[in-house]
Amino acid sequence: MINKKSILIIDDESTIRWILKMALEVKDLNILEASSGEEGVAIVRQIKPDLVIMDYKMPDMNGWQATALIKSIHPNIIIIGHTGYASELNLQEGFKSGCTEILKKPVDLDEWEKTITKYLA
Amino acid sequence: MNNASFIHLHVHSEYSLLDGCIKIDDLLNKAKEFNMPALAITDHGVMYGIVEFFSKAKKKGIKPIIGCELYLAARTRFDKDAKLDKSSFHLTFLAKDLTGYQNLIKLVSFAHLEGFFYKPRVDYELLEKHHEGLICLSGCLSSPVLRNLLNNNYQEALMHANKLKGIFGNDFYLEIQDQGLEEQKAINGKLIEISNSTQIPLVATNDSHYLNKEDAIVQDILIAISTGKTLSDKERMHFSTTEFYFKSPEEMAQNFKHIPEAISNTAVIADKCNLELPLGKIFLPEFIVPTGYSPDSYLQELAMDGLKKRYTPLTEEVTNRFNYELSVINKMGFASYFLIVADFVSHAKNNNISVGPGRGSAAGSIIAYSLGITNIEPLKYHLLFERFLNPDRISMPDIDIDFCIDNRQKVIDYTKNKYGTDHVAQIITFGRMAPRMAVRDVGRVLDIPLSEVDKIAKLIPFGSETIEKALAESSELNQQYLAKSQIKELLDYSAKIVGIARHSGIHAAGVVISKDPLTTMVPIMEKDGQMVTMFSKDDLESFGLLKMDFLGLRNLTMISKTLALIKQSTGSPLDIDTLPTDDKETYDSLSTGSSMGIFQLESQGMQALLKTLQPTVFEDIIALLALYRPGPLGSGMDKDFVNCKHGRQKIAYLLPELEPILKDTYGTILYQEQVMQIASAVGGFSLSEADTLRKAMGKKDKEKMDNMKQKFIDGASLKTIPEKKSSAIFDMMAKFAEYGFNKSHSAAYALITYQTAYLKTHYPVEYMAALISSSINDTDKVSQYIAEAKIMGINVLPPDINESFNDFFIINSSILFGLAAIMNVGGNAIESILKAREENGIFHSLIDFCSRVDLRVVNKRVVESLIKSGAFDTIGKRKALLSIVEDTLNQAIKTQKEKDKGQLNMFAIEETHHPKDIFVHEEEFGSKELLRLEKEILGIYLSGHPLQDHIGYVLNNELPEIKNLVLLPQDQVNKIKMLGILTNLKKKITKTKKTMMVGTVEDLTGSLNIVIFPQKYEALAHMIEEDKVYLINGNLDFRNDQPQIMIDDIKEFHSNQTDKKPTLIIKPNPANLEQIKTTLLRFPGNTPVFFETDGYKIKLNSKYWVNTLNLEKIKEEIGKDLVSIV
Repeated sequence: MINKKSILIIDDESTIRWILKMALEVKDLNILEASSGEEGVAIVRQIKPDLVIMDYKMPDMNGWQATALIKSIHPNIIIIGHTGYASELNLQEGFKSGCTEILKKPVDLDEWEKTITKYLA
Repeated sequence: MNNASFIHLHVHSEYSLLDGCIKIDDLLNKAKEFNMPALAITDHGVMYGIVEFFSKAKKKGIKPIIGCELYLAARTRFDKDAKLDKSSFHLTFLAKDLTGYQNLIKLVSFAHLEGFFYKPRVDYELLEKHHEGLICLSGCLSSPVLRNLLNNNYQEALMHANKLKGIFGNDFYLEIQDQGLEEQKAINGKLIEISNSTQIPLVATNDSHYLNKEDAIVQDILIAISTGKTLSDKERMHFSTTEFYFKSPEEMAQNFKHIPEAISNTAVIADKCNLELPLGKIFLPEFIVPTGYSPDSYLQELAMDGLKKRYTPLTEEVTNRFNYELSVINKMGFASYFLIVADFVSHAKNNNISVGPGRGSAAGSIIAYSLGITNIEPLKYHLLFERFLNPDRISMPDIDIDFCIDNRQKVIDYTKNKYGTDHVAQIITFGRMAPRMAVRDVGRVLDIPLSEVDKIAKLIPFGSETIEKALAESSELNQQYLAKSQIKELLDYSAKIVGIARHSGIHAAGVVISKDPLTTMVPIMEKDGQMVTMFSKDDLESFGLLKMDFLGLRNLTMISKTLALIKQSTGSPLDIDTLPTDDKETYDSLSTGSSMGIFQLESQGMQALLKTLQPTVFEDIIALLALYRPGPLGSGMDKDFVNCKHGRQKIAYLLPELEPILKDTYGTILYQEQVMQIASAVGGFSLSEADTLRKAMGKKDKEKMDNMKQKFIDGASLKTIPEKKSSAIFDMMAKFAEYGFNKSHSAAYALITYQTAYLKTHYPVEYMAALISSSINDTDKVSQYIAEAKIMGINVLPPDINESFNDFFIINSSILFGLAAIMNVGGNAIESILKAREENGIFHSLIDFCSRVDLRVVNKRVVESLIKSGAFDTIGKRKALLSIVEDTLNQAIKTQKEKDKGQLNMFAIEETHHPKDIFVHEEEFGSKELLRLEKEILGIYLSGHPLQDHIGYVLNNELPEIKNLVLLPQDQVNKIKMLGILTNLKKKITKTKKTMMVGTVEDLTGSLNIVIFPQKYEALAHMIEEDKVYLINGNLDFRNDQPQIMIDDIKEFHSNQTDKKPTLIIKPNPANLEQIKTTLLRFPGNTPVFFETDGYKIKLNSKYWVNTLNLEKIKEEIGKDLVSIV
């Protein structure tokens, strides 16, 4: 398919990346992975994915910092964040940095699938 | 008047099938009593009983006269007008000699093959052609002469008499009867007149249908049985007098004292009849060999070619055996026989019709092995040729062949084409009246209430062959007999008809192939579209005709289906004939006793024996089949065998010579072949003599055995074996020979057993799919096998209207339900669905489906059943679809009509247009209802199980599951508490007239037999319901090696609120992520799955949810420690 949509998953945990990939396998998507915020930003510079899945808690650069950087490169990119620290403050910070939507942990992958479908439609 | 001067020439035996009840033995005894030197048999339109009659009469010193009462067509035998040709005349024929017999056969056969219209009919043309050697008697009241006289057509009657006289000359007689019928009184005088005017002699007969006057009621009962009437029905067809019995010569002489010549002519006729049937000779068919060959030389060449392919290099042992067998076969004149069998077997194999590896003693022949008739190496397994063909004993060779049951007829058709339809036929069988059947039939005719009849029928012990025996065996029956006159009457009449031939059928396997056209020796008829001989198997054999058994073996069909599925899923074919017979995994899986579906090992007792025996080599499987029979089991041979195999019992040999013979069976004498080998090794017998001894021992022929014992002892003493020992060995052989099994047969069948076990072990999905398909019409078997498949961890998918075929099929390592296993969905409906799918692709909606299939065969019930089964799940919800079935069908019918009328505009039927269903609602049934419907339509729970939601309760409360219960100690009674549903419940009445219940309990891991004894049953009866979930208390024991729960108490189980729906938790391990995914996808279901990683849970999307029925398998694949259920 020429018009395959691409998604970038940024998460430091390979298992989580794998699980997300597995959850999205139903869709005909081109899935990219990055194991740190830095790596994610580097990928976005080269390829513009249609959507980014961003974990908040990562060593070195956290998810919201990476979001802000990516938004500065491609302002209209869709970024779905997810966080286990769903305090009001943390969420506000996330939206401020440019997240389109933030899903709270524990993760329900049916919800993920629905959300992503919604934005890619 | 001298007794001997009257001879019965018109007699109907039991072979007139419910129109005559004289058994041949009784008939001959009575004739002997009357001092009758000769006697005729003249059944209606058939010659079923003549061989039995002929040979038995000869033995009694009575001259048998073979005849038949035939029907004469009103016009020609080809005229079959519903009005003009419905009634036909009767005529009686008797054979004077072999020519007459052969003509009679032709008349009878043509009457069936060409003239059948209500009755088998001949006509004057046939009579003119085939009259030679026949005597014709003018027949009963239905004869052409008498019926015309009755109708006052004197001239017409005279015309027939003259016409028959013209054909048969001095062998035509006017038959005069007096059974006290009014009609006879009226016209017998006229008949005498005709005799006087035409000089056609008279002959007296009595139309005998029963033996004694008092048996008239029996005949009446039989007619009532065959016409479905009761005796109280005055309108029914019956004989109006009781004079149709086998009258004494005195009575006959008295009846006809005014015309004594009619009596004395019976003797004149009997003197004319001097038929000798060529019984006891052998007429083997000939195989046409290429020019330059004789059958012997051609057999030698073919067999040698085969031998070279089977053995490289040819050892001396092999060549010697080959030459020896060949010389015996040729000497006995059986070369053609082997060629014929080899020919149709190779035809079958070349046409992909699977052929069994052998059956019976033929597997002991290296020639049969070389020709490809058998497929088990005889030398390796010590199979003996002499057990098959004993040169000392002239008998017909007997090679029975198993074919794939679906294609057996094709092989029969091939032989018909090859040898000509007039040389090949199938064989008749007779169903005889069994005691219980007799009681039920007679009870109905006597108008005794069904419940009463049923009670009496059930009092007859199984295996009682006669009412007399039943009365002796069952005191309760005897009491009833003595106490109630009605029951006495019922049983007395039943006793009279027990054993009588009731109906005819086609032998399941037998085919006869003849040298000369069959109708030179055997009468033929058509039955269910097949040519069938009127003689039964044994009768044909005494005629020296070759009969072969073409058996249909479902297991071969199943193996073929498995192989086809394997080829489909692996892309490469598996050669079933070259499987290694030492595959450890196969033996390991057999040793677990889980042998469901494995050829010959399916019974529960066999499963128990497998577990104790723990087979490790092919010889063990051969032994297993021989051990699991009443004789060996009764004598405890199985236990000795098992103990010796596992070294718990020492193997003792009376002589070192016995060790090589008995080593494979751990010192026990299990096979007939071993008896023969001992006779040869110890007593110095030739193998032919040894076979004769084996046979004598098997039959306990004391005289023969005593003679041979001395020879055995003498032979042994030449080998310096002392008499004490040899005598002891002889006695041991005699003891075991009684139970001995034919090893050739056992070995050949063991090969099928092994093949099925191998396939089940290595290709479980393909095997189970084929197994289920092969019993697709047997709902019980289907559900049993599906349950087994699930326990094996195989996923079974519900039927899918767009994917399923007739049979079960494999999709992504799961078994997809076959349409044929759906209740109410028949073959024609399936054919129409598959055709529509093939022509125009998948179905997009219910209306699309209904518009494209043939609604005459795919009716409302079919559509509803398909929906309930889940076959339309990809199209819509079951409840929603069911609510629109009626409207959709009406719509489709309407459209169909318009289309036929050409009223539909062309765009509306454009092929790319897929009409959509219009739903009133889009609801689905609750899971309970869904399961109930599945069970109703598929016979099983498929998408779930009533227990599934409670698995959390079972685990949390540490209740045992059936898979654990069967591992409990077998030597004690175990108290148990479990959660399960009760199914297959049946009430039983105990001897003390109390009600108890048997059935099975089922959980997610298997099923077990249960019993609820009367006292408990009384207390629980009000709450017992099939398929409800119960908490069950009871005791588990292993009586007869079978686990069984005796239920103490049951409580209906209600899941309480805190008992939430279970979920599956997996701790993913980076190393097995891919495995996890594969496993989850293999067992789709409704139980949510969570990954627990880094302290928090991720709920997977529903695509990855699983069916907890497969929990064990899931745990096994992912890792037991990584999976839990909460």
